[in-house]
Amino acid sequence: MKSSANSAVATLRRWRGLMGLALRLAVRSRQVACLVVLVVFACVVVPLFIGGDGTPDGLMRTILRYALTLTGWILGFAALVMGSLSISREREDRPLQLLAVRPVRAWELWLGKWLALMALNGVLLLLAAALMCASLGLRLWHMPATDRAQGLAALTCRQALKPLPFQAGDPALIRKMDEIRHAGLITRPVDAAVMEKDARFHLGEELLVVEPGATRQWTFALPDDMAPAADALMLHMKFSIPGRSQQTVSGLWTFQLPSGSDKLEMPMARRAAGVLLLPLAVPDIRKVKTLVIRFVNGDAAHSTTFILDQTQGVELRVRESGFVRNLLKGLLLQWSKLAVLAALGVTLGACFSSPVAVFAALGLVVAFSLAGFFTMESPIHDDGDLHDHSDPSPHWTVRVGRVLGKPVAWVVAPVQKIDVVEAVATGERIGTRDAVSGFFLLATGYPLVLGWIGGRVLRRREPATGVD
Amino acid sequence: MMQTIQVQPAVSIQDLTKVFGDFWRRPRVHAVDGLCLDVMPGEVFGLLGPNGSGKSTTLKILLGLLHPTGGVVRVLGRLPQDVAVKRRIGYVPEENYLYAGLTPRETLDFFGQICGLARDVRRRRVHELLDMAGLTDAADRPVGGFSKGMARRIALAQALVNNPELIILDEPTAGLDPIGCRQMKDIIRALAASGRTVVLSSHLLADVADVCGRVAILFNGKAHAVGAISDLLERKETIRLALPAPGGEGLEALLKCIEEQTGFKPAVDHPAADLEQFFLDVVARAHAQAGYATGASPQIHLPSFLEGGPDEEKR
Repeated sequence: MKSSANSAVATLRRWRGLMGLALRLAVRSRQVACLVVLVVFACVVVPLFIGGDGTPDGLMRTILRYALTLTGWILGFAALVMGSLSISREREDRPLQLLAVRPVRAWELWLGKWLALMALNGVLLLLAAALMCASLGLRLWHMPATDRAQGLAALTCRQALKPLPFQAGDPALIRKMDEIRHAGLITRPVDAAVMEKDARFHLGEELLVVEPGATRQWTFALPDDMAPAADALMLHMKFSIPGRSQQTVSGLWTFQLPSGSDKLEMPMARRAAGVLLLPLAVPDIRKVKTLVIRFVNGDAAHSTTFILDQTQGVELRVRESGFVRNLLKGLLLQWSKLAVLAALGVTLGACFSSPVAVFAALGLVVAFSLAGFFTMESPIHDDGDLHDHSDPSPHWTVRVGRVLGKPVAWVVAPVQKIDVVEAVATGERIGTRDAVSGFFLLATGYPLVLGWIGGRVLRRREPATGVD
Repeated sequence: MMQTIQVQPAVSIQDLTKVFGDFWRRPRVHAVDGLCLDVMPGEVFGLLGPNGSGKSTTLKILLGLLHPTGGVVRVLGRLPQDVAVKRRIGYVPEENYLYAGLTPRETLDFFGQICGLARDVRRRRVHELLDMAGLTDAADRPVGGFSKGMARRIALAQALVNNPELIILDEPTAGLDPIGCRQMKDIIRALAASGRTVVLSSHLLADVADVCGRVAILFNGKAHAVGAISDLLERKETIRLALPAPGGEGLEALLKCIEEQTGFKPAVDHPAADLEQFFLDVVARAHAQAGYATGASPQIHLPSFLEGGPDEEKR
């Protein structure tokens, strides 16, 4: 019993030693200093030059978006490169030989490097968070008192409510099914469920394109425990307008309540693309169970077509919790993503020489990022297959791309599941369960697999080569 | 009835072969070719040979840094890759493989930590090893700025931090000044005296002759001579006499007498003082006058923890 406890203490001491070594070398080689400078640049210097979209809340969100994106890139790149170089450089400069003759298992070498990168990333992310908060505070402090409240409103975390899907028997759904039947596109008998699915898909697509003078409508179910605050509910719209980058456009939103309808003019004078958040003042909000939102494209004179985002086109954002809590959850997920990159880097460093490892790591990240393009298909083709508009016999390169891309996309999907930057910047609430499950999957599951590979490679490879 | 106790060799090499291949794994160089050796506990064993004869390759196989192509290697009764073996060995590489960004104190502390030593044990050993290496004054300077000799002292110190049972040294005196060479040899002798096994490789024959009990001379990966140095070098057909120099006539009479008795005319010369000892005496006097040393200290203090047996034996 005592000897196993001693052995556990010695093991922990070894891990701490390996981790401390990697950290100390990173500090001594000024890599950490460079990263701190870059993080300060991303979170303090860049926000000083950001003009925003002219609204106080837009400014806050832009600062957050830029700072988080830049920090993610800097730390992600650093985790990948530092990870790739950590073992490969030590093998080339030979200190690995001194470590290999010590009572250290191959996977412990891998673990030491990875833990060091995790610790470094954690500290730098916390530093970035502190600097971001300071930058936001500074900009808020310099705002006129009237704008400050609006700026602060942007730092509220909200839960995103998606529109209700079309229910069976909905007149719009029945109309669309009739249209499909009469269009003569169906060449074989299909059951009603498949027909309804196809109609639902096409209706969803129709809702995303709002032509001049057209009207679109969405229904939302509100939660029971809505807090009766002025900013309890906000309308979120993510859109683009082709060919109208800097012109004034306008739209008219109405929301229908049991007591009648309210109208809301959409002020869109500066940017004809991006995200719009409009507060909805709903009286006696606790009693409202469903809310019908209608959008009228009022820019008929200018022939403006609004193209809404496929996933975040129109949502309701319900006030939930504080910004800092959401930011911390976002940072936990970001840290987990960095853990995957660091693990990938260290494993490639164990497999290849330093330049090859760096290029392989960067190449793999690019390939993983592009995996989505290979597998991009209309969802109806996967399930319903009512009428396929795509090429029935695609080029063999496309077919190979799809075959290769699918497993890669499957591997990458959990990493890309939550867009941390977008969630934190737009105040979309990150669920605690999502954050914790994402952390366990990304910061333990993926590194476990990569560490196993790295450890096996290190054990099989000879630490020393050459003849003397 | 007499019982014979069979002592297990500290290092056992049977028919060892190492072939280095090219990118396509086609055999290119036979670095070690059917080598057989046994090194007994407490022995100082030297591997001699010209460059490329397979000395370092053999040592690296003993350390688990290279995998043998054929043959059987046992170090302290186990395979070289066994983690349990690695707790009981120390290694001084041929070149400076230390972390350039660390100071000697941090280097020794790190390797102590890797060997699982507790903080207070590490602190004590680091202090003693720095003292042994004569680098107490340079303990907080980065190793990257050290001369080759100073770096080798630290390399030796790190090899001893776990109080090993078997010490493997690759060219231990290469790059060292005469003081460092002497200290290295004294340490090797002291380690052997305390029951540890030392295996070293070198092509500095005088150094090997000073410390090794047995040697193997390698060429093209094969052992061409193995045995005790005294057995290999002793010329039993000649003797050497050393006397106080007699006067002119006395010497002539003595030579004549010897010639009459043996039939051979004896060669006469004045034995020169040992240059190494002379050098050490001069430096010791200079150090005593100055009271400090800008580089490594010329004095040697073997750490107290090395005076007893290895850690594993103490347990």
